[in-house]
Amino acid sequence: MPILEVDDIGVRFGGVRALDGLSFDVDKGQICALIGPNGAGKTTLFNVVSRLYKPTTGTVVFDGTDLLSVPADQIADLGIARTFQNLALVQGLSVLDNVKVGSHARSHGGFWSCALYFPQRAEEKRITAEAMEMLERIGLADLADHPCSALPFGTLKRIELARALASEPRLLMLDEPASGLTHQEVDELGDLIRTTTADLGITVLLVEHHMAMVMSLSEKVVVMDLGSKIAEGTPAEVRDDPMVISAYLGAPA
Amino acid sequence: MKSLRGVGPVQSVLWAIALVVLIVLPFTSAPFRVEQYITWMTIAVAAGGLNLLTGYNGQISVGHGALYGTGAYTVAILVTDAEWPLLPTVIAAAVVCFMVGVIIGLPALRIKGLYLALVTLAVATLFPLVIEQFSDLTGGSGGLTLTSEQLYRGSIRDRRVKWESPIDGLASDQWKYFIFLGISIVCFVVIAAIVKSRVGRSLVAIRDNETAAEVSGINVSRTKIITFGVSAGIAGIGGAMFALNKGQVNPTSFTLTLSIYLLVAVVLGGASTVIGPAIGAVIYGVFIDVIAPELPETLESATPLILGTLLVAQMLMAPSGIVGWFHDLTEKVSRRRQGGGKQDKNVDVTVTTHEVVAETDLETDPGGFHP
Repeated sequence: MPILEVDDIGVRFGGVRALDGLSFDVDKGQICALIGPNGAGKTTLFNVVSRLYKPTTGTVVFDGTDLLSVPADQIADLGIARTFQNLALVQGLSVLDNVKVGSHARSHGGFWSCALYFPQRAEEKRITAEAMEMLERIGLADLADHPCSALPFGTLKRIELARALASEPRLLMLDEPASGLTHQEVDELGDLIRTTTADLGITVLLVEHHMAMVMSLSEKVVVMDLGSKIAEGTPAEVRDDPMVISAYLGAPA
Repeated sequence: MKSLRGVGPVQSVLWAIALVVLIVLPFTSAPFRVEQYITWMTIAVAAGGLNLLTGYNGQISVGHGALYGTGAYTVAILVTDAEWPLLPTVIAAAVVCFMVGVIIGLPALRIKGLYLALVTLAVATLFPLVIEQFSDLTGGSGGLTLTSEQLYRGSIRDRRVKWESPIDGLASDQWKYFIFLGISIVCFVVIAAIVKSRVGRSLVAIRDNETAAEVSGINVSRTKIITFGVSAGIAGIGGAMFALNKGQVNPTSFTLTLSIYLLVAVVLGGASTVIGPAIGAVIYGVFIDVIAPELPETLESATPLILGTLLVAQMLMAPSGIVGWFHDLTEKVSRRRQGGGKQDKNVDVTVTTHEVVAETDLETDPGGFHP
């Protein structure tokens, strides 16, 4: 049963068609990879689902909700979390606080309640404990109080993953989680994604250039080129598709 | 690492000293000095409010002097014309300034940075003119003297707002000092609670990365507007304290200079630190009220120059303000002292950085298809 249905999505930037009639479904609990050469429109699709870009055509339905009628800051409330290719972390906060920002959507309390401190105390304690647990899971508990600036890129990527997981999402969108990681870290990250999402029943939409990771993790692969889908199927099916090979390596002369 | 962010031994000692000094000060100073201390408190509170907006939320306001003035006039009018008792007017001033702040903050939804600074600059510049315009209510350029027929009987002079000490042995200026110190401490406790909370994190998230804030479910527009309001409300409390302390308000007290004074207090003490603005306000106050009058007469006209030079020096040597500088210092010291374990971690981190660099050097093919 599909949890995310992308139908005929088109996005234009001036004369450029970043996405052109893209359609695919992601089933509940599935790890679905979105691959394609640079500029294929993978991140653009993420930005459409996050409501950062407004598509010119098409619909996106998440678990029965029309996403295009939901403002960007309520996407997290629906249970969609994401990471960014170039990181979107809060430099001025500690590692732990960054993870706690992730739990914003499932915590409560505005200025009044926060100003009085006591109404928030129990929730704050719970969020802190959960964020610490998440950091331990991801192997960064030692850095909890470290400022988020001045950490290596690979570490920041994992912090962002923890931030996304802290919102307890139903759909997790990962934009190139393996880039900038060492080979060993990539393997660890793959295991982490597989076990964590299986444990928590999270559906994953993954954009990644690291093919070994894509092939070992995903149950479904959607291949894009120039804003449209050119192939879809299991990793094995996609790997042998002549369209895919020509998109990546160029058509034979 | 944990101890770095909590209150370390050095900090505890400093807090204890500060507390003792705050308690002893009114007993060892002349009454006119105590009045000045209270003025510094009002500035500290207003700067603390401004810091929520400018330090934590990254919205620059050069107009908080106008909000401070709005708070002061709200109190003056409520006490004199509406005959309110004194302390409730402080809350009223906060509410009025919250609403004014929300309105001034509306343009902040569309503009930020320098453009927002310019809009708030206009507010600061216009405020004294607006006050003079509505002279029926505000007393115009002559200002308003706070009198209360309800509280005090007799001639006009006798009806002026004053603070009679209910405790024997405590002079009225000392009594007033402790009341205002109490209000100031409450304000800073509230600011600290906000900053360390869920809302505080969202303020910093919006400042540093609006996209990250938005995808995490933070309503950026609403948070910005309410922050403007809350920050204005706290600045209004500062202004309210000013009016109750001086017993009179005058448009010349709330010019652009005041707005800049507030910004200087925030930056000097340390933006996005809770206590920084208070320290900045006190240092500025000490300079203006204590040091400047002691300077030889030939130097008197050079006071702004001296102050400016000091500020430039601070921006060069401690750009994150006095509190920020102090944090860096204690962190460095405790890192050195902890040695062993911490050292290992540092090494660890650097190794990873090298590996990452190596890794990215290797993976230069853009397609990256390795079937």
